[in-house]
Amino acid sequence: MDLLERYLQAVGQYLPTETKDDTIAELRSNLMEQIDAREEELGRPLDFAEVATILKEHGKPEAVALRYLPQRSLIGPTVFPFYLLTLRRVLPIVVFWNFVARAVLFVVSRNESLTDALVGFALGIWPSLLIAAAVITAIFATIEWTRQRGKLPGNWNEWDPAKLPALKTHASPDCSPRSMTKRMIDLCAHCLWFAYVLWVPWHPFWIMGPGVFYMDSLNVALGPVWHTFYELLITLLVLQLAMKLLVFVAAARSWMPVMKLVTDLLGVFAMGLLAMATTYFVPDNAYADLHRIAVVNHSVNLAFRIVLVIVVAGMVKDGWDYAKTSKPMRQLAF
Amino acid sequence: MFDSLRLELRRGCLILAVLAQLRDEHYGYTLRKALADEGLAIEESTLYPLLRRLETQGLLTSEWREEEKRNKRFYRLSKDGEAVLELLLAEWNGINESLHKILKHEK
Repeated sequence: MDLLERYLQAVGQYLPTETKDDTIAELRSNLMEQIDAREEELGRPLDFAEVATILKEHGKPEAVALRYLPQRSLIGPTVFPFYLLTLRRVLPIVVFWNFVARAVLFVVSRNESLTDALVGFALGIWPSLLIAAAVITAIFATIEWTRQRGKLPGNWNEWDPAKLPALKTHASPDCSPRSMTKRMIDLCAHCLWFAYVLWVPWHPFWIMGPGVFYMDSLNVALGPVWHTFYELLITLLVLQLAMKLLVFVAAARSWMPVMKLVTDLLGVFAMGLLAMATTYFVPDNAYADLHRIAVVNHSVNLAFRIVLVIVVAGMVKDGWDYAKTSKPMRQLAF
Repeated sequence: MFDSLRLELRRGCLILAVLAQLRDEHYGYTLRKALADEGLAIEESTLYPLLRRLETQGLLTSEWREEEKRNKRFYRLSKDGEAVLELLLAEWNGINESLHKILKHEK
């Protein structure tokens, strides 16, 4: 019986003091009954291994003790859906504001590279998310605690069907393929835009307007970064042209999200290249106003950093929209 | 999958069976044996805590008594327990009848 007492002692470790003795006494009585019945069946006392088998079947001490504890949950099934809904609403907002804060820092800081900013964002977001999740969990645990004690008025299942949002009458544009006319107009517009981009380097007036004369007066020339950017832009336009053509082939539409992601990334890379460059205009001759060129370079850099943030935000939004419709995210819905 | 659905299905039935069986006085071990003899085997680690919970809810009463030179805790249905059992049995019969009708179409 030494083994039985050891077992009961192990169970007792996990029981609340006020009910421990009573529960252990009952367990002892029931287990001894079981051992007696087995001994009667065999016609001899049980050995160590046989008692051990009975105890093993009865359950691990921790698990047995836990079953005697009142059922508890940090957030119960009534409140849990609201908790999950709040997490799903609040956490994206936390990500958004972190992104905004990081973007502002990136724009105003001239020393931070795009890679540093992205790594900083990717690493820095987790503490904010954890803190937000912890605060929400604490709030809902408090609500649950209060509700269980009947101190929280109101019915959680109370709702008014009249307040349901109006029925969406138009299908989402993402769900149905665009009409042939729209696709044709889109393709023509892109071809025109492509032709313009190919033509404009030899006719700078058509991109800068009267600014060309101002540039001439500054005695400046375009920096080498523009050549690299131009090559990237042409690649991007070729890819986009392929996409515009592919929308006419039904079987190829499944490639579109991947193609869109590639063009988005290329767009960000091209804009990153411009935002990271510091010299956009270089002196063309000895009469150039170096101070004015420095001011222009600084202003252009600031503008490109802002545009980069907007482009990255757009890509994050596209990524989020895509992820929202993905299977794992839909499984989170209730 | 099947195990969790089976567990869910059995949970409510076990409470009903225990309450019904405790119209006569039993202690844990004999109750378990009685249920098993009727074809409803329950693990000790499920039954004994369930008895405690039902007692806390006021559906059972218990008392320690010596029997065969051993102290045992005997359980019996309380007055409240009897009333609740009647309601649960009515509910069970209703469900049972409906299920029979539904399942009849499958035969």
